[in-house]
Amino acid sequence: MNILEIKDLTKAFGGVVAVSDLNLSIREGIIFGVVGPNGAGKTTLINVITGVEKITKGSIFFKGSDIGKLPTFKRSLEGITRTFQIPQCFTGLTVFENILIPLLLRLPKQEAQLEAARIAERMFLKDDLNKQAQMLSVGRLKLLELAKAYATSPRLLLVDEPMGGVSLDMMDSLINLIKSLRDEGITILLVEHVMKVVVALADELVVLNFGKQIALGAPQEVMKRKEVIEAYLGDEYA
Amino acid sequence: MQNRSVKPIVILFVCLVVLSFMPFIIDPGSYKYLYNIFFIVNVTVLLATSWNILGGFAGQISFGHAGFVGIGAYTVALLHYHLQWSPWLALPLAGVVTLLAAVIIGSIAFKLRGPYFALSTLALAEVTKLIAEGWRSFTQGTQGVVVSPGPLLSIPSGGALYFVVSLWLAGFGILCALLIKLSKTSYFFLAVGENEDAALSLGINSKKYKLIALYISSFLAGITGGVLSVHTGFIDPSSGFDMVHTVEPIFLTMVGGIGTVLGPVIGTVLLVPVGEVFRSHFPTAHLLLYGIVLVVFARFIPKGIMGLFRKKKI
Amino acid sequence: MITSIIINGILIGLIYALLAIGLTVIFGVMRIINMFHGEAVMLGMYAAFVLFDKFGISPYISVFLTAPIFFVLGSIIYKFLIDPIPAREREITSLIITLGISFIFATSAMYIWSADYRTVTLPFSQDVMVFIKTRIGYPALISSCMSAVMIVGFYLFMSKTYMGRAIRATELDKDTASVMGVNVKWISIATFGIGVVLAAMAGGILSPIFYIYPFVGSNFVIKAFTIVVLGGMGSVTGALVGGIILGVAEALASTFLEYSMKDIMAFILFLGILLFKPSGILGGRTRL
Ligand SMILES: Nc1ncnc2c1ncn2[C@@H]1O[C@H](COP(=O)(O)OP(=O)(O)O)[C@@H](O)[C@H]1O
Ligand SMILES: [Mg+2]
Repeated sequence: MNILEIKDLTKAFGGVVAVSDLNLSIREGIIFGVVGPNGAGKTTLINVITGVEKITKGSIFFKGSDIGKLPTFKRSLEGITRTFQIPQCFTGLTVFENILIPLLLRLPKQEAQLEAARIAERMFLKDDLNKQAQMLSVGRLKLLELAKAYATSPRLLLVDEPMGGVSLDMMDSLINLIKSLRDEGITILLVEHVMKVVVALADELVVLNFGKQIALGAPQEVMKRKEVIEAYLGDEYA
Repeated sequence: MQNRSVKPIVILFVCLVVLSFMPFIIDPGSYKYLYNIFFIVNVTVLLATSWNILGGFAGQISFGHAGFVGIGAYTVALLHYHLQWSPWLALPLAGVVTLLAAVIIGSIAFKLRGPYFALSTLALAEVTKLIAEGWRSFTQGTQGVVVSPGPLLSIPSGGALYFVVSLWLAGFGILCALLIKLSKTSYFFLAVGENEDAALSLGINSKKYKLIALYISSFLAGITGGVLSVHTGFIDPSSGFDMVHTVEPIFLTMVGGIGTVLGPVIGTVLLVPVGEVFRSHFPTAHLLLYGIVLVVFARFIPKGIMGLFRKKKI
Repeated sequence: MITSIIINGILIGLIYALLAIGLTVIFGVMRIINMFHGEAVMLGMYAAFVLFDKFGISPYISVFLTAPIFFVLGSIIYKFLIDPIPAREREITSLIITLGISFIFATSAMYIWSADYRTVTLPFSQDVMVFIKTRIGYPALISSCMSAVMIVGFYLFMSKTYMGRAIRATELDKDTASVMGVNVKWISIATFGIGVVLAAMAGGILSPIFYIYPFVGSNFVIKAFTIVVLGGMGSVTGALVGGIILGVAEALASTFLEYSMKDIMAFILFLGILLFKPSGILGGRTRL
């Protein structure tokens, strides 16, 4: 069963084609990796799937129905939620309130409060519960991004570079966390720069370059292909 | 849980009842000036609370409250002038008509994000003022409209009536703010004001919450205008659409504490009496004072007086 | 007849454009709406009035003499009142702070110069020339031409000088600009100063053809906002086009509709453009 189907998807900003004639089918319950050099169109793909950006051409089906015209908030209510590459938190509110807000939309107040505390614990944020979000380090903000998104009970979770700014010892916990989300039944589209992470996590992998798909398949196998190595070596200074 | 949300409402109610007995203790007949100030304080609490619900709770800065006040004031005045409605009966309609104007401006301004809302409300205030000036056959233009009090208002101590009515209207405004603050909605307001992209991505219909805040705010501001025009007994474009109705609620809310229920109340109760005395000695100097205090608070004490209290508690 | 209305509309439109450029540049670089823009225009008018009244200096010259003062004023306000605000609060707080400043300026002007209407009456104030059957007052003509020259000058400044290029780089992308060695903080401060100077110069140039009074700024600020929204926020060419559209629309409205409709045109255009083409008539794609 495919949870998400992307057909002939193109997104252009004036002359810049950020996503070009992309076709993807994402099976339910897997971690689907998206990699590619900077500017390949990964974030734009997430923006288009969540409705932050309008589709230029093509269509997107979620659980069989066309969602291409739904506003962002409705897609989230349907079960598609994303995290942002640059964390977008409610910086003036506490970590607890940040997690509480999406829960309040879906649960009675008391249940929401219990659930928020539970999620915070699971996402390694227990000690920061009453801190203002603007006091958090970049790594912690990434965790909060994930916690907020998880609090919407998504069926499809789009994660944009969750490892950026995360310390090395935290990275392994985060890898396990994302795996456990998948084992819960959440389908995850994972955009990530750090190769080690993608190879460790993804069940299937697509490589983008200049908005085009250049490879698709099992991670170990895809990473060996010549065109993928070239695309990366051209950009791999990091 | 239940208890916690009922308590502030009970306190508000008790305060209103107790204050309602004021005219029995201080005679309105012999303290006309004092009761005039009381009235202005009450009405200003209502207006500042209205601004705060939109600007403080939902983070949508309105530069158009003068427009809302003017529309409310003219609704009462024109219903009285053309159809001989009692000003008191027209009062709820002042809120409704203002809300209708807000529906129009909201549907245009909230299509976009960023500073467009503030600019659109400013445009609304200016356009309604120009209409009031220009449409002479309907509004009598700059000549203004007289709102003569009906028989109901000829009660000997009218001061007491105005005091009690304005007191309960202010109470109504505070109640609205309180009910929002105690509900889930306040969190969605906060989320939208803090970061609209994040709110949308989490499933919050940001436009809906911005509109709710705008509608409540405009309704309350329209009522403020209505009651002001009854009290003054006269309305013209420059008094009804006075920029002060835009700046004063911002100023008082910033000083008291933006985004809190009590902030606008504290700001108003502390500063309006001072402003009134100041105004009678140095006309328009209070505007200079407003400007300076507004800049100082926004820059150095952005959380206002309420913010100072909060810190000490923690 | 219609040509003469349009010619007059274009002439006033050029002045309006100059009026709006300071606002649009500040918005483009810092994403800040400067609410005291109108009061900067007002101060520019009074500065021209005082220098003319006391020393007989023509406003067309005095605007250059007072420019450095306004530059310093704008820079100081930005440096000390706006720049220190944390980025996430800047949009809202800067609106409120600049609103407060507009009140301080307007009320101070009231104290210094009283509420009286002032005028700058030049020796040729009553003279008129005729051009394609159009009667054009000399002061209006000179003010328009000077606005046009200043707009072109500003355009060249933005496209040819290092400072102008640095401002545009900052406008496009702060991070990249700062990597390229642009001192973004100082550029922001200078840009705010320049925005205020442009407003004040527009005021000075307007002084021979408009009444001067303390609250005159609010008349101009809505016009300036309309032009900025019409032309697309942040665009100088857009401001020029927007200014001319507004000028012509007002001229047509005051001739064919009731005279009082003239002032409403700005709002109708403002709300109309928000409704139908919020990115501005040029589509928001033009820089400069
Ligand atoms: N809002 C936008 N306007 C114009 N161009 C954009 C916009 N968003 C992204 N782009 C362009 O689209 C391309 C893909 O960007 P992005 O999706 O952010 O890449 P990635 O996330 O893979 O690094 C880049 O060339 C970028 O400059
Ligand atoms: Mg990206």
